[in-house]
Amino acid sequence: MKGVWWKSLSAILILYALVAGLLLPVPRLPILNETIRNLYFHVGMWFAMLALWAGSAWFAFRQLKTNAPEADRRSSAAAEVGFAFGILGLLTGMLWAQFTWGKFWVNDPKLNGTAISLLMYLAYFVLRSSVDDAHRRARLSAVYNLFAFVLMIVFIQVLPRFTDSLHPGNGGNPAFSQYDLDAGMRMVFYPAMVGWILLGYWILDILYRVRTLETVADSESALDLHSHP
Amino acid sequence: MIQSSGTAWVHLLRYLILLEGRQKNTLFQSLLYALCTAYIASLVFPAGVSAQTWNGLLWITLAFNSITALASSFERERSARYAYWSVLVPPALLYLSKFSINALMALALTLLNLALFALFIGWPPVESAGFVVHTLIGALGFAAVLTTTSGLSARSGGNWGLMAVLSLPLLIPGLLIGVKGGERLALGAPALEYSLGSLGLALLSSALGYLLFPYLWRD
Repeated sequence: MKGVWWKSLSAILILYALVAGLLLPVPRLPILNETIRNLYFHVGMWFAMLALWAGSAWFAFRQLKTNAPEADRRSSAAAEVGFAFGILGLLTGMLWAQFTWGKFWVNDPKLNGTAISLLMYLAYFVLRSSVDDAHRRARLSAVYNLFAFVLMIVFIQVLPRFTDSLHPGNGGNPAFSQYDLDAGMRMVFYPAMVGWILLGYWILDILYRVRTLETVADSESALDLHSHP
Repeated sequence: MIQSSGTAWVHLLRYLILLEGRQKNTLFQSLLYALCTAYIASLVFPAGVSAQTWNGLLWITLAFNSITALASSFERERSARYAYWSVLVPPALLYLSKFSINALMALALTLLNLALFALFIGWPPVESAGFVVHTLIGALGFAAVLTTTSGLSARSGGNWGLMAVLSLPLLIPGLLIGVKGGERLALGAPALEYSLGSLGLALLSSALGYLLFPYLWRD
């Protein structure tokens, strides 16, 4: 297996996060209580999502520079895997919100940022499916990808400054950030984040290879049609 | 070089304004759309609305009006004239002139919407001048995003639906900052940082559009 070392590292780190994340002691904070352990999983989804979307934007940039179909395949596959992680992040977050804020969905800048990012990538998929010509699809979707990615980053960085968030660590809410994220939690948090990002890259790698094989199969069957009319 | 592209931009803009003036259908359609939405809003709230609701209604109306008005900004280039354009005009320059005319259109639409809202529903804002300026800045941001999405939707052969789907998620950041700042101004509180945030977003969106447009325009 190619890249066996980082694939095993990913599996080991996630296993470690599952076991240590559920068993090791955590600080006792009001409201959060044991749900603080969601940090290792929910935040990991966001880290993986953002890493994948950053990769998707990077390959969109490469696509515009080089016109390589591989860059387009990587870019769209990364957007799809990032989207899947985004949905998982949303679900883990909603479950957590139900037990801490008492509602599955609240009007919070971080939730809005998430919802808007997911909408942007849905629009990206719609754009891709509405253009038939592969070359033009690659180009147009790369433009939209870069445009949306920059706006999304600005939006999730800037808008929360205009309003208080209900999220732990924002607006005087009990937090695991800064002083509360104690040494014990860091020992799980950082390895877990690395593990989730590597897992995201692993899935992306597989999806990209599947797409490449599909493209090859498509062009071979097209050749078959030519040789046996 | 700068001198000559500056002159080219002026020529292009004059040409585009002339075209709009000759083929009044887009202009007319946008005016009618604005009139209808403002009137419908007044019918839905016969007893008048609070300042917050008024502000929210105005911004949603503005967003949809801008999408409708600017969706067709590359309509003409779908035909054979596109080939003519792409040879004659560098894409970045074409973007600049299209963005300029779209910005003019969005500003005019915004003023019209404000006037219609004042006429049909009332004028709750306390900080009137600040509110108008803030709203115009927001409209500029809409025009910056919509010029790019309209180019994308024209090049992908999409219809109004695709234009709306591509635009709405990208409009939400500007819309939210606009609504929050507008609400503060409507209630008489200062909102300078919101207006500056809107302006920054408009500059960023137009700079991105300027950089990316050549890639979406040429094949």
